[in-house]
Amino acid sequence: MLEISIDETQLPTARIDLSGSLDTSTAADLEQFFTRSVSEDVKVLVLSMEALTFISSEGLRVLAKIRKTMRNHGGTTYFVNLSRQVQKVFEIVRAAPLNEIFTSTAELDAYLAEMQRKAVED
Amino acid sequence: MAAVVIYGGSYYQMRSLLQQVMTGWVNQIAKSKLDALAAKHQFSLHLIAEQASRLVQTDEHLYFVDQNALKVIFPVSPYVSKMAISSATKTKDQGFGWQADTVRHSWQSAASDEELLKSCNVVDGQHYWARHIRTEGLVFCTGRFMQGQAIQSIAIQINMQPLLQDLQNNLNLVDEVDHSLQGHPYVKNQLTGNFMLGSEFIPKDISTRPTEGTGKGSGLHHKQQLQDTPLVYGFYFPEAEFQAYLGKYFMIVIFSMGKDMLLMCVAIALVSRQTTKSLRSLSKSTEEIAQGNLDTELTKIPRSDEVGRLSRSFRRMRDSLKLHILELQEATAARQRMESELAIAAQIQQAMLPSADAAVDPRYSVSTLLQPARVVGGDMYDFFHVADERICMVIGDVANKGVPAALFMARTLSLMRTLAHQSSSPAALLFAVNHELAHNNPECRFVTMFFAMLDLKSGRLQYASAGHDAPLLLRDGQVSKLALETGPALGLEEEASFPQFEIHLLAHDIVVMYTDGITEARNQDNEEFSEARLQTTITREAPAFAADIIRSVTLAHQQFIAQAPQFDDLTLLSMQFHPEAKRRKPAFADWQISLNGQPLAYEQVRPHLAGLLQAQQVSEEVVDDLQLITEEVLVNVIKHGATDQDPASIQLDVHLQESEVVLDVVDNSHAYNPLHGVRQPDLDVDPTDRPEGGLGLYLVNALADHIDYNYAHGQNNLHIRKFLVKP
Repeated sequence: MLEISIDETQLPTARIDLSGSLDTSTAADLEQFFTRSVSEDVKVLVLSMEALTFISSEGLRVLAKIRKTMRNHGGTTYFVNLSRQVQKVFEIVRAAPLNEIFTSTAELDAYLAEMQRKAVED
Repeated sequence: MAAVVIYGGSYYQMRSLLQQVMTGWVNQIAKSKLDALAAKHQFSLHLIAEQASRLVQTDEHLYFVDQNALKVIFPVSPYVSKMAISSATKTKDQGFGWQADTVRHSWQSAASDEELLKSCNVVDGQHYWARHIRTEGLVFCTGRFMQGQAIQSIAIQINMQPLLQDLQNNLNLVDEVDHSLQGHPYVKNQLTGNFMLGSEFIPKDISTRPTEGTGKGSGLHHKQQLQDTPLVYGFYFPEAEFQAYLGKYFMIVIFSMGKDMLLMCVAIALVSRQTTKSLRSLSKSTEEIAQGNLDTELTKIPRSDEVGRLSRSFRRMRDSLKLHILELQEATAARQRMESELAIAAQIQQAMLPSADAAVDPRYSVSTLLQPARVVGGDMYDFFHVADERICMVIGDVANKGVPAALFMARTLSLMRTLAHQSSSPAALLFAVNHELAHNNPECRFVTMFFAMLDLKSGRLQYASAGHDAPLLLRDGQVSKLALETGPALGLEEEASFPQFEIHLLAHDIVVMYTDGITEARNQDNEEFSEARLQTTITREAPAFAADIIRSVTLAHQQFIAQAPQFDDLTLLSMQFHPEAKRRKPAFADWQISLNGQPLAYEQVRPHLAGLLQAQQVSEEVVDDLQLITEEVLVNVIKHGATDQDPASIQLDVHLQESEVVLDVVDNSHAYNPLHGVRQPDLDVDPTDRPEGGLGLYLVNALADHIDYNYAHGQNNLHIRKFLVKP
């Protein structure tokens, strides 16, 4: 089972909360959800995975696809609050660059604020 | 040892030489001295006899009264002590005598010595030697005769003392070393049979002993009779004394030789020690060099002799060794680099060739062999689908071997795969590939190739050849060559064309393609394996499956070639046609899954497994890992598995053992080794840019502690173990 919810109140940042398990039977759901719900306006996609207890290679494939789509839009994907199992799988296959993975929302927010400040200065 | 033998030899030689020399020398000396003395004394005694004879011819009054007159006729000699005269006619003069005064050289008148006179018994003008009746000394007797009557007799007593003294003084051999007297002179008076000198040393039977030299055991002996006298002079050197004398000399020689030898030994030891001192240090350095320490400091020996030259040679040797080793290391490193690159190239080349598992359609099966003569080779084979119903098969042989051939082979294979999809027939494909290869081929490399397309629905096999041997067809146990007329090899003529043929394959037909590495391989007797032998092998074995052909041909080939070296790449490809085989790919939901015998839907498997393990207090992390492993293995079978068995099933068995969890997965899909070709994704590349797929099985490999796979009785068996605690 996979539950997906999205918060798009702070565009261009969108936040998707995943809970349950991202495997062969649910990966397609996330893929569809992403295609349907995330527009090109979203430049920063935060995938919060606190309640995602399981991920399989199929789940990794969908996440890679999401990252690729976001990148093609000129956006960035961040992964926050990885659960133990997800963390381990991410490490084994290096599913995302380390600078896109954050251990807490607060840490990510600080990072984003810093990025914004830099962007304004430029 | 040798020294002892040499020393012994020279000891023996020296001994016999010394004995000879000493014996001869002593002999000579003794003999000549004895002879000289005997002659001298004989002369003196003769003189006395002569003078005595003259005395009786002179006027008798003269020597009765006038000592001076007597002295003229008979001079006083040291050998005469007294004279006694008796006269038969002149009674008053009967007891008359003279005493020799050797100091004043004159005669002193004395009373007649009756004993002396009695010693003589002069008859009829004789003169002779007699013995003193009391002292047994020597007496000379003579007489004056007148008409046959003795009117006067004269007895002269000989003083033996000076004679014996003379003898003793002259005949003793004086040892040069300790001045001791050697040997014993003797004088024997034949009148009495007694020794006048030397009686205490001389054996009584000496007169019977032989003279001259040393008879064995009898010692050295010389004797000389004094002519006209009763005296015998002799010299005797007893054997024991002579041997002791010899022995003494011998000891002296030995001692002197030994001393010399000792001195020489000391000298040699000193010299050789000096010489070997540098050699020893050289040997020490050499040993260090031998142990690989080439930076050893070699002792400098500034000498121009052999040792100096040797040390300079060593220095040169060490330097050139150093240089050589350096060069060798560089060369080895270069070669290793080359070898590892070649090995990688071989892996890449191998990866370009599909494995038998790549025959995914049940309507045909393929088995292959490619054995390069070198690390990389120029032979190739390939098979692939160009459409659902059409497969292509290729076998080829690039001229020459090694890296250039391998690169040309890679180029050809890529061209084939690319152009096969655009070509409708083998002839067209060969034409296109040839055009490409020949277009830019200044080296004039070429490749022979057989290419075939099989329509899996109809069994129609279309084929064409570019200079390659015709494949064999095994049908109902009979082997025949496919009818073939071949075009030129690829890469030579840009516009070459290739005649195309076709044949309809029946069920179970096997097509065997090969390169000339198989048929032209030679054994140690230089015989070719030959096409005939290949055909015979296949006919004899009449294998039922594609894989059996490869096995039996390989075996026969190996037995034939035996120890002969392999000169060419060996390539075989056998394809069997199974038109009746039907394999379906079950739908996701059609797979019947069970866990420890309990049927479950796919979605239930993981929660069920987790519950089972958690109930047995397996740690969360291990449960996580096993869930992922199970998920990936299941999905792999469900997604890719195809089977002709009903129902398609996957059985999972999980068991907790003492230190590990064992997971067995058995499915009845076609043979598919999930471990084969598992590759680590390039972790340095951004995950989004990596090629898709393969991640699942990579994760299984990464998480499981042990995986085994085998295929038996139409089932894939995967055995996975996961440790409870990391060792």
